Amino acid sequence: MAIVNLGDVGLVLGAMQRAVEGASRQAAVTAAANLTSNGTKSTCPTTADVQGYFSNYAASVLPLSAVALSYGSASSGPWINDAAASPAGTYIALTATYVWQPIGLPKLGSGLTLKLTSVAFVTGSSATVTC
Amino acid sequence: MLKRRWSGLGRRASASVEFALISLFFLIPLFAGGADFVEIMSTQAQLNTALQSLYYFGYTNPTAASDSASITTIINAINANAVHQVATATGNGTVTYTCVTTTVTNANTTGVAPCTSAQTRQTFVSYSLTSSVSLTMSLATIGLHNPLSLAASGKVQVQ
Repeated sequence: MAIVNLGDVGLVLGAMQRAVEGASRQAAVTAAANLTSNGTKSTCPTTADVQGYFSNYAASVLPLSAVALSYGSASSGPWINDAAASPAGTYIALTATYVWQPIGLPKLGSGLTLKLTSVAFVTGSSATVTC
Repeated sequence: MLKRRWSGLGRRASASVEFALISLFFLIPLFAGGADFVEIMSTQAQLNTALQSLYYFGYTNPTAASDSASITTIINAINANAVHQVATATGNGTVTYTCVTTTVTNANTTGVAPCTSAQTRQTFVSYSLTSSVSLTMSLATIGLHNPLSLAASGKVQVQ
């Protein structure tokens, strides 16, 4: 059982890593593709859109109802304007959290919290982007 | 009859001692080692994800790929939610150049000197990250020191 469970952790982590990287990049590329000609405004993906991107990557492995997605800025949606960066930019910081339970051992503790964060900047903007 | 009762008690007692010994020397180390291994795997996954974030930033912001303020912004955004903190290591954000001559042999020269008119300059940025995990068991004999240092590094072409 221990070998099966270690394999399951590896599978879940691999799927989470691919999904969190892919979803954040897809969101950033989509925001960049929707930039206005002067590069200051965009129709940025919403939290629901990012959830959809994540689901497309991870649906075959992870029980999506048990995965919580959070963002660096909860108040203004998934996007953060960083005027201090050089050059200034807008980015998404996507965190996926999943409480992994060992297979066949449901009463063994409360599970292990697996958490991964990825960051992706919107490109092509001369400064921060208004979403 | 008294002898049979003592015999039954003795069997139960020896089973308890055996269970205690197996737990102490086998089961507890097995579970602790398994939990440590999960910690190591998840920390390495976060390191790899952070490195991919830096790669993506480098690809898409070639003129700022080595900017320390931008790299710090990315690392801080990751650490705000990370279970194990990620730090930059020596050599992070280092820029190197290669002058490529498009010939059959594709001769390269490396350095910061200007390339000749027949050459094209390529720019690379190296990223290097590190993190550490506190283990419940120290297995220095097989290379698992406590705390265990993990690293992820790589070089990408940005221009």
